[in-house]
Amino acid sequence: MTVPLSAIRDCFEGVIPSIVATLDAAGTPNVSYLSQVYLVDETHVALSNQFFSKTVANVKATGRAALVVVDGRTGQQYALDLAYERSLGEGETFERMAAQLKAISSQHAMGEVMALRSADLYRVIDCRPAPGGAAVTAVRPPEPVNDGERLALAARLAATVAAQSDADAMIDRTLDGLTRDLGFANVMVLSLDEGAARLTTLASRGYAVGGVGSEVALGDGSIGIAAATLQPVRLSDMSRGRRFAEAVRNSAEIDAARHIPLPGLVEPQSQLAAPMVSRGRATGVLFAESPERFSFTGEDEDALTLIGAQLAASLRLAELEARESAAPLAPPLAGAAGGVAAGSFRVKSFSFDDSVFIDDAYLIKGVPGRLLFHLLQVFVETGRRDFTNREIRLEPSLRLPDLKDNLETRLILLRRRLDEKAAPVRLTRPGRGQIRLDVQGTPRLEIAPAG
Amino acid sequence: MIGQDLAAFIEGPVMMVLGTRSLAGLPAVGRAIGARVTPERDAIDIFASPSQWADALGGVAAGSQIAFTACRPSDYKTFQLKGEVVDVAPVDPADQVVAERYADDMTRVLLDLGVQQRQIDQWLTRVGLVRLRLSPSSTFAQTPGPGAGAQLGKVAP
Repeated sequence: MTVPLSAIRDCFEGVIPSIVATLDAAGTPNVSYLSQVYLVDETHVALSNQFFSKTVANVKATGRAALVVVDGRTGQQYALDLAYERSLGEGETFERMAAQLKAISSQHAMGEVMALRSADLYRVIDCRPAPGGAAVTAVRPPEPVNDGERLALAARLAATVAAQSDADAMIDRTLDGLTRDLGFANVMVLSLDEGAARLTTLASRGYAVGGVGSEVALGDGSIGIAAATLQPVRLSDMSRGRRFAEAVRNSAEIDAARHIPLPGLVEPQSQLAAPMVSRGRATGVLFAESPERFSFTGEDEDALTLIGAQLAASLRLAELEARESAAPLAPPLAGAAGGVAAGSFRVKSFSFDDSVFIDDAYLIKGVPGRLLFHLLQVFVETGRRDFTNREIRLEPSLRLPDLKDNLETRLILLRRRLDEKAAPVRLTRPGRGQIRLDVQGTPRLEIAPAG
Repeated sequence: MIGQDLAAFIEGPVMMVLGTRSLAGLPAVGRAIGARVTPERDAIDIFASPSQWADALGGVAAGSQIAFTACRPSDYKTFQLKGEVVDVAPVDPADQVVAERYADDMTRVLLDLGVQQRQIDQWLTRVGLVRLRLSPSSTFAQTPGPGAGAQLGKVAP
């Protein structure tokens, strides 16, 4: 191998299309652009096979292919000689390529989604640089491999997340660690509402607005694709893919009155979305982005995936513990009950999407909306401010999906959204499995007529 | 006969690649720097750099079979033509003008798409070019999608 494959990782980011040539049994060449070449290991690559059937037919007949890959940063071209080994229709390499392909094709607005038929595995016989344009340019020296330093940082962060017992602290510790220890400047954590097929922002760092409650449709953009496919998605150069970011931004704009803008860079060049997976299901997405090209490495992808898995597991555990918890209710804080401020505010609920508006400003919809309106109804009728997760879970009018109701996460979302909006009603957590309403003023509840 | 629309496409600012058989009898890839359809529209003159793509062009001579693919980077519209090389010669001044104009136009298109100049410079070689005259025998639609690879006929559109 003239150039080790690990030295040309930037060629495998899907930024500049690769070119593949083959010969049929009679020696007639075929040449085709290729959307994705995946670096499997130091001596293997996998080529995406969606519909370039002639290439596949040829390599099955002759066993050989020639590949040109291009460094997305410098434009340097490399010629690879390949020997076909086998086609992969499942497994990690296949799944990762399928998710990445989906993200890249939607980024480049390639028309229909290009489903991956197979990932074709090749042994690399040689890899050599193609001389540059006007003159033969020097090959860039291989970048130093950083020996898993990022993974070590990720493992330490995962351990501190695992040490938390409070769901809020887990989320904050994750985002703070990602920004402080791993140096990701713009990050978000989103939780998946499987029933509604959407992801909702729980918290973010590095943006002008927090964006708690903003939404991304499942399957949309790098965030939606990571959740839908359970695979990390990494984009290294979005300069040709403005439409992609716009698609993400537009996904929640169907109803402007009920829209919270997704925090997000105006012109991201790199994005990394790692699914938060627990027991084989996506529960959310950890997301990082950057205005610079090639901001995230394969190791960053592994790091975020590791932390995402830990956060998913920790949140799940917190959920189960809150469900079991029957701690005695802490007494209300002195003054909290008595000190109701003067004035009143209007809370309006729309039953078609369970959205809640406070004084005509949109707050939230779905289960958290239903939840808030219910708590306020009880408060208005009985004056009660303290609730337990358990009674909420059993309340039939809330129609919580029983098995994986993610009540803790929804409460965090609701509480953070109320805080971000500086709403006249807030939620506090006096103890595990407990919720307290903090109401400033007198709520006047209103249910919008259906239709 | 190469159809008028296809001729215009090939002569426009589209990225061009060649698939050939190397001297070692293996598949090889090269880029082309511009192309011009003959007045009779029965052949295409393709310009390419043998010093940059030694494997791909080293084995090409009159009688060689090659594949030529042209792709429009803005929408990935792609065609592939296959056929026999009927002549290989150094470029003449008129060929050089076509190749240079192609490189200029292609550079503008790629810059507009956000590609950087230093990247483009790696791909568009302007010196030491040869002219391959391809007599196409078949044309294929290659735009990404389920129709990719469909033969458009033995006679080009």
